Amino acid sequence: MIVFADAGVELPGGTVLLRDVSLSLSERRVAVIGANGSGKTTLVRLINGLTAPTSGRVIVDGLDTVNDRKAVQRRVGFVFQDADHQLVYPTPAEDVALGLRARGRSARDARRDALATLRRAGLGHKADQAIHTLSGGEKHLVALCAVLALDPEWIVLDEPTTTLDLVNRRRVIDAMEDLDQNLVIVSHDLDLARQSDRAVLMSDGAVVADGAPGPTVDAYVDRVTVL
Amino acid sequence: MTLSLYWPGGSWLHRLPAGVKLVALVAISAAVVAIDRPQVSVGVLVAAVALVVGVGVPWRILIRQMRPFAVVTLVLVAVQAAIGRWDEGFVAAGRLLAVAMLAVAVTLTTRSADLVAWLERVLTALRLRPRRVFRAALAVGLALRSIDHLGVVAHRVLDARRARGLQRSVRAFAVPTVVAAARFAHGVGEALDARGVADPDVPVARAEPER
Repeated sequence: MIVFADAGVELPGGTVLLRDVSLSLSERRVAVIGANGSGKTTLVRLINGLTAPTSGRVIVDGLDTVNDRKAVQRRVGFVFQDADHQLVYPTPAEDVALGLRARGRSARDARRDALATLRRAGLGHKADQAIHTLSGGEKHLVALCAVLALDPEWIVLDEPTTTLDLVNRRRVIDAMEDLDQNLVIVSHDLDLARQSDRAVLMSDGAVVADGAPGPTVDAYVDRVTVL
Repeated sequence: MTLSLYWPGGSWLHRLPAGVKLVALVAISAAVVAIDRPQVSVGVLVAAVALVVGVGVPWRILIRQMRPFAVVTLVLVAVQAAIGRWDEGFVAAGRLLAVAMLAVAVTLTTRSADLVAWLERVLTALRLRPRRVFRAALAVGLALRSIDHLGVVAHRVLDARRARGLQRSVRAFAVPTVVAAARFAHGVGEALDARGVADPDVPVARAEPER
């Protein structure tokens, strides 16, 4: 379970990115929706400890994201919005193996497990291909594989289908549907949000709607229509 | 030219250990530079081309990889010609192309993972601690990835500059490219942090001997 206990984020100049959010997330698929600048990414960055709350706390499976940051990062995988920034090695096999090597696995075992993960995602034949030659969807899948190889309990995906064409969008969504982990998905893709178990609507750094995906997405659409 | 452009294959050159290829590259390149005879440079260049084409790399790939060196070579010859030293220009050009062709041969037939793994074995043999070896290998891998990515970024920036009719503007190229590089560096840092790569609590396994 992920618990936000009056969690807030305020910048040194006084700008508030997140306002005293209190949530408990235990559903298998949680969508976080809202306009640009509404606080979606700030909210989910708290889960992995990438951003520390300036007020309140965030607890992941009993672990504080500030005091137990390393342990939290082992339980929560994070797939960034820009896959290019997440892929740090020249080829998919090396990149997926990186996290395994950092966890103490030998180079041979890390490569073997990396290849197995890539094959499951349908990317085994691209394991040694230069990453900059992959399509956007393939890069997102490689980034997801890099996280999956570490077997986290939770996976946060920040706009996983933004900028993808229909084919690549479908590939990424199909890959996500097959995952056993709990997912927290930031998305502008309202069709994707409607397929989740729960949706959280953000606006101006606060949660303005939370619950079943259908009504929450409708509330978002109504707000946009009014504007 | 990208540093991580590997052309898959099963030739004897592909199967040759990365360390052997790298040592041969350094040794032959040193000989080309040290032996001041154009015939040696030309001979090495021709042999390297025959080697690469012989193991199945298409001509178009070879030409694409060598194009930047050809441009530099032309500039080199032009500069030497301008000061009346045609012969020295051609000799220097021959050396440059020969060494570049050898490097391309290694790049096309060696996976970057094998290069990095060889580096790890060398550093381990020098008795560096496993964590330092891992970080050195990470730095090399990151450098290869960064150069590839920034190469793509530079092309996009040049296209954007052209679309805006600013082909002569250095600023229109430099500023977006530097900003993109800084964003990439920041993003990569966060990604490494999120993946726990910098975790001091987890021991890193020693590099393994080459089979």
